[in-house]
Amino acid sequence: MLFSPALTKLVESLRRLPGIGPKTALRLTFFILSMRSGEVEEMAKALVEARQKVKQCSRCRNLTEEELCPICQDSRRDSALLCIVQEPRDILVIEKTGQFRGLYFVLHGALSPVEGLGPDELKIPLLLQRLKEGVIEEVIVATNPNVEGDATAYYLAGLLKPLGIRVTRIGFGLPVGGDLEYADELTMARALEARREITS
Amino acid sequence: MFIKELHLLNFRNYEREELQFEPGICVIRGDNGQGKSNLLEAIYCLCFARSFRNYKENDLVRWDTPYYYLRGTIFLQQRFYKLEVGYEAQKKRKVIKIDGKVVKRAGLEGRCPLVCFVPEDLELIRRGPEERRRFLDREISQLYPLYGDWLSRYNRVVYQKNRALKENWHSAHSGEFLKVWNKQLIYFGSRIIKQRAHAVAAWGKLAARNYSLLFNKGPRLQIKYVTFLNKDLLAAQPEEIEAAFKARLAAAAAEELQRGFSLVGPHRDDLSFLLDEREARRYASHGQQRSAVIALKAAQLQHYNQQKEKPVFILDDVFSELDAQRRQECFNLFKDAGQVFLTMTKKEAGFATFRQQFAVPSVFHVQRGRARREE
Repeated sequence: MLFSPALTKLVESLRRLPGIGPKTALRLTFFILSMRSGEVEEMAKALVEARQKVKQCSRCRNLTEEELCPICQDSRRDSALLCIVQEPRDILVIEKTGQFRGLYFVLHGALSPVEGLGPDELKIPLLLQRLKEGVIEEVIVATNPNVEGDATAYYLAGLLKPLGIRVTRIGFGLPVGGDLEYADELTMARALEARREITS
Repeated sequence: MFIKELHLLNFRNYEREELQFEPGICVIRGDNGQGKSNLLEAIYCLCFARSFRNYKENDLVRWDTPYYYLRGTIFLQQRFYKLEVGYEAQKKRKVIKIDGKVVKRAGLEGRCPLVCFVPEDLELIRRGPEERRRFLDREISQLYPLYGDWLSRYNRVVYQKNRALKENWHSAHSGEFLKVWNKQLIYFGSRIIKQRAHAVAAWGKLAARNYSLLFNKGPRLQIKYVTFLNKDLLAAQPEEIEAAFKARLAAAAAEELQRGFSLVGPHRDDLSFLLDEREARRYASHGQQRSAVIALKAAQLQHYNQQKEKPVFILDDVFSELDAQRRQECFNLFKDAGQVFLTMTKKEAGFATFRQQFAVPSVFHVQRGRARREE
């Protein structure tokens, strides 16, 4: 063994993080060892505390420290409009626009038999229960534009439309402000399919 | 089109090499295992950012080095393009640039007329349907920019659907569950079928003529795309193909559930070679089968020529496999290409006669990952 067991253990734990390979894990370890011990303790405490306190909102499955997340608690939001996203970080992206005033539901994934993710794992029964309360009029499906995300969207549409709920899918197409010339072919093809009539 | 310059860095067994080429025929000579095919691989990879021998990216990186980098200049559509492809093994990150600008995917897919001829192609008729589909997919994704995307999404859907069928998710989650995969199967599958039908029709027509020129009074060659839809695919509208696909899926639904895997779709298609209406796979001689493949290769070259761009033709170690007659058939293809790269071993007896016949402009000698121009 080249280094001490404690150091090796730290490298191994850091390696479990996504996007961290053996080299980066080693670099982070050396950096942590060069930090003041108070700073390291603070960091360790932050890790444990976040893990203990942060849980899923009981209504929308967003991450929160309370029973309901701040968005679900906000009475000014439009409770007739529900946006379905795959990950909590997608909420951040949509919130940044300031254009959406409705509520959310987080699936924590998309339908994927090969990963063992089915409707129950995505807590779709919880979603159905909420929709049966009758307040929600429109559901916007904002899952990723790939095979699994689209499958999830079709699945939800099949399930929710019979309940008399309007189901929409976010639009896909060209990045705003870009030139057509730089669009890749698949994006362009999809943008053509999703074209809209110009209203005067 | 032609390749003008090629720089290799840590690619396969090349540490660093810089080469200049001209239009016309370029012979790459050397003993086995010295790097002849790797040079062809680099040319292909420069244009399409992937391997034509189905190597994984990491296998393209030179042993014990962290990345490969290719840079080259090609002449295409009346102008020069500077292409770059780099791959970092550890981060599994690939960067492709055209004229210094980063592009998302294999930038020249659909625009780069290049035809490969590898020894496995010679056995195309004898091998399994899986190999023939792989051949179709490789060649067609070069022709149409969207095809590769459709195909990878389609394959992903089949993969997901098969797992759902195998684990019987259907009964647990109502009839909707297969529908969400079938819907996408139909969308991507119909486009794949349409594109395959078009490509095979175009090649088949040219190949039939080529074959009859090789053997007058010989049997008539037909190349057919065999799919599960009994429809005139060339005339059919996309919606008609989608509707027929949907009907077939509905008819097979019970059997799919029972057998536990996906039974309907272009992932089960085939390419059929007929000589005088009889399956060449079963009734033709080995030589006839190979001539049929050569006629198909010629058709691919001619198909590019019809689009007003002379293709680059890459032949990897094909000659050592062929008898004198088939070899001559291959030589005749060169007139349809703007630039030809071919490999020959040093022992190759045909080289002297070949040189006489063609006044070969450039010959490279390859040894242990270095290429030297022979004067």
